[in-house]
Amino acid sequence: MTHADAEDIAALDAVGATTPDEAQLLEEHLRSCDSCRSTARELRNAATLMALDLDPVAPPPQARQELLGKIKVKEIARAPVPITRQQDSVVSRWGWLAAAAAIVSLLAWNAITVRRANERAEAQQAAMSDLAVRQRQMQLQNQRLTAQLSTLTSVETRTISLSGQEAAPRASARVFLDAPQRRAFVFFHNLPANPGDKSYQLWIIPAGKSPVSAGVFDSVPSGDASIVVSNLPVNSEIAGLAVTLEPRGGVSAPTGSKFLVGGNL
Amino acid sequence: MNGAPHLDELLPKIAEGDVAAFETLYDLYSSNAYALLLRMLGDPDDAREVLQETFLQIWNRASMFDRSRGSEIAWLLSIARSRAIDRLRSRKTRSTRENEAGREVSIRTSDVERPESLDNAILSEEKKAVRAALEELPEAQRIALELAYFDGLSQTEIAERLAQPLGTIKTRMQLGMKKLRARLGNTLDR
Repeated sequence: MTHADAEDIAALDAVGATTPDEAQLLEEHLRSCDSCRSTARELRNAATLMALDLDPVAPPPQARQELLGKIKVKEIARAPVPITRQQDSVVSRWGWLAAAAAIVSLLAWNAITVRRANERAEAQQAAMSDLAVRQRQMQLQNQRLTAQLSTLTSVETRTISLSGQEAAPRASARVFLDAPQRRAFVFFHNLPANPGDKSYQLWIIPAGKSPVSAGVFDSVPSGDASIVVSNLPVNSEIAGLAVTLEPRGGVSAPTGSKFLVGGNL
Repeated sequence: MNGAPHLDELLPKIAEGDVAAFETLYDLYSSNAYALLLRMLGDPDDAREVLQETFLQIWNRASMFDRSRGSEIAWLLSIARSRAIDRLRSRKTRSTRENEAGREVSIRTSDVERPESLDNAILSEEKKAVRAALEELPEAQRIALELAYFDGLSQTEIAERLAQPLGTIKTRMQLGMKKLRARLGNTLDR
């Protein structure tokens, strides 16, 4: 295998798209080629940045608590079993040994007491840590809602209503376009739940140009959904927006039925 | 900004059973992993379960990390991605879509901000470059890469999905990844 071949396969491997045969060939080559190993590493790092490009989402606070609970259960299972005092009729006959045993017992008791106190302190510390995380999440939520409110009330925000089409006549949506911030908040109502192998896809239609994908999303039987769109293409005038149902993950150009349409189309 | 530890300092401590280091790791990177899992799985309950599986695997296998294969954050997110793909595949074998009624609406993007940390501050500085590099990719290349990375589709499945020859799809993904590498390959090592 040439270095160029290895790079081609490593490029696919970075996004997990190699066949088993390709993966094996690459693995064998990388074992003996420092240069290609470095290339493969850079490709993996570059692919990771696709994930890091997603805006972070704080997981529910309970997830952290549950996880740490599982970790701590394992820690307790790993901890040594406390030494228990043994009854020994021979030793009990010797006063000094009895005293020594009593001291050992006292030490063991003290150790247990200290350990329990430490566990209580750790639990309190964990609770405080959880509270700090929750506080941070509340702050982030507050910032997010403030940003939304700012957009919804700004005089520069343009509002577009989307109307249900034949595929979903009762559906509707309201789009709040914040051009200076290059973002939009879209709220959908009465949108039928999408099948598992399909996604809804929001399209921005610039004047005189082809539709540009603004993201994919799922709905549920209640019909409500929302999506935050960032990096709006605001260089050209936006003539309208549309929502279509597409294969899961979205497509480069609309192919499915229109569910919602709005704007000056 | 602060003295937050770097990921490469945390993993050795976690390998020795340091719970505090593990908590720090979780607080620093769970938001990135959860965003990836939401993007891949859509369902918040599934994303939460897989997030826990991911961090449990890191707790149990931190000593297995091999820096020569990628950066620490690449390893962490590759575990999350791999677990999510397992979950997607198990979904295919179950017809449980009906049971998912009533679950929360999932969204692809969110404007929840990244928690503050030294690493994340660096990532924020790089983020514009990352986004620019992704936006500069021809859409056909970007879609093929996203279907592989986020949806876990094979070359053949992507070719079928996009109704393109297999060779075309492979070429698109290879060109796209090479461009990203040229622009971003060293970003996580800086």
